[in-house]
Amino acid sequence: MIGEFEYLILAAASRLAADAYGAAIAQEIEFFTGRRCSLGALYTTLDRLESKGLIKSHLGDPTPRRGGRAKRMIEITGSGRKAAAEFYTTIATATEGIAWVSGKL
Amino acid sequence: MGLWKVVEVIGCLLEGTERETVLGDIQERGVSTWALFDLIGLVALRQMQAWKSWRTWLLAASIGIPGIGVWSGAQVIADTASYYPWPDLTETRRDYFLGLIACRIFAIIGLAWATGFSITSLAKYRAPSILVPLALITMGQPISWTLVLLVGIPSMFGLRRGWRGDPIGPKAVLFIAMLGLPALAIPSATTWTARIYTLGAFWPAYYAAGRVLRVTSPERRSSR
Repeated sequence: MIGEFEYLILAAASRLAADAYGAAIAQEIEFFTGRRCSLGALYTTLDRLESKGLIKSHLGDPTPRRGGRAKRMIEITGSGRKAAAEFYTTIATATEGIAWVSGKL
Repeated sequence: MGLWKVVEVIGCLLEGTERETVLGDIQERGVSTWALFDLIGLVALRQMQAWKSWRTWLLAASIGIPGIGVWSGAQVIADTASYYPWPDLTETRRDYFLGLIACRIFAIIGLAWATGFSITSLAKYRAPSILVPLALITMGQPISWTLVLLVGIPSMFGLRRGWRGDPIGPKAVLFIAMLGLPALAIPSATTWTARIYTLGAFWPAYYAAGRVLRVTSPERRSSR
């Protein structure tokens, strides 16, 4: 099963769809978690996801905002979607009825 | 030097495509001290990952062989120059020793350059993985001006040239010089074991000579 950070990346990449690349994914993760997303952690996790076959990456077009540098565009594979769904189902099942989930804290 | 310049310099230690995308992301998100730390972290991680490859281990071990030769050779020269009873020697003996020392000096300078060249041209982005442990090993050793002049400066020039990876001309001179280097060191080796070690330790010089040929070949092909 994938880890929490891997899941967050897959979720962000899925939300961003065709606009999923390093900086955008990091921004998305920071927005939803409220925590800083280090580029080092992001890139090494992207490598791991790619080696597991859960994502595919290719070089995108360079933009002036990036000083003419290319983007690493991310695309989730079928296995990636399956792994993310499995993670979500496991978490949802494992936490069902727990106080903090049902709001009875 | 601005923060972005520091980021660009450190970014040079990442492989081409990754450097492009990471520096682009940093520029897009805004350059900050955090971004610099992120980059340092990523570079350190990539350098550590380099040790997963047997090539890094092989190169580090292979660099150790000429490294020890260069280091101890320079040390011997420093000691000989300082403590040898030069005034007690006859003129012929003195000339012989001076000639021998001159050969050693050229051999060490050449080998130090070739070793630096081999490190960066064989493992461009992984070079710090090899250089850092070497630097740590030599940290406890006494550093003399002889070492700096004979080993430090030439190896820095070699590292720089290997990193740039452009043709290392004048080609013919360099080719002959690199192949001729062991001949300068062989007279100092008194036993067969030492001679074999000397010939093996000069592998960076043979590699540099080979690179000259490799650089020359496409030009030859295009001129035909």
